[in-house]
Amino acid sequence: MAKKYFIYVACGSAAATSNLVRSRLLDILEKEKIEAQVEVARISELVNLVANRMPDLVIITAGSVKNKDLPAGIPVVSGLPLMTMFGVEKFGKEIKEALLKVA
Amino acid sequence: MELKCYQVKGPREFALGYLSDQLLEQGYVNDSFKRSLLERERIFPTGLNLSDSVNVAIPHTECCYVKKDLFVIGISEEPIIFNRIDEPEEELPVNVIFLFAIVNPKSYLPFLASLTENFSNEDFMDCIKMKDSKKIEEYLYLHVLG
Repeated sequence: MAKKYFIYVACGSAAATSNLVRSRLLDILEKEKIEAQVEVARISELVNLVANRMPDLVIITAGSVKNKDLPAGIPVVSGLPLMTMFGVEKFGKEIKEALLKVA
Repeated sequence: MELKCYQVKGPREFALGYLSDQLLEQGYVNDSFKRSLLERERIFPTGLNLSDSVNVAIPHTECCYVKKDLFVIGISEEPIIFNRIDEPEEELPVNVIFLFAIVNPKSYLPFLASLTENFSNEDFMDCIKMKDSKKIEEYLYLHVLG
């Protein structure tokens, strides 16, 4: 059975922006037949959440958390294309590649 | 939902403050809205670069300060400096501000989804580029609020 991934989507208040990106991400994942649990988080709590729950991928839709703040090896991708609708295809490729690298 | 369009002037805090004052005067928000909107924009900037020359901002704050729904558009002749949503340290000159004042957090999401979906529409991008308030208003009524 294919691996079920765990992804965080984080923005300022874990409200509108991250939920919008989450729902568009779920569409992409479904199309790509990638099974994943996607949760939203506040940027301010992200570092702790990631350290505790070790997701396979982190998507950030507001602010920036530098990779160095997060545990090594967890890819961080900007979710901005799902807000601006520019570069959505490239974004899809990027997350697919990032997830494929996950053992 | 109702839509209102205002001409605004920079700097950023002045423009957002002006829009907040209009909302307060007309009973759409309470008196904490302005402070909260400005503070949130400072901590989590909302400037979006849509294509080479089109930049907008989508400032927002918690729904608890809103009393009545309104979609507010701020248009500025001169670019107003916002910071980028994805790179908060980087500045972005913005001419059009989209501000949703919405009571119910659940109804914010579909409006934001609909607005951002239209960012890939060339006609909409042209109206924004031209800072044409009438055309922006018409477009939004037809495609986002309709």
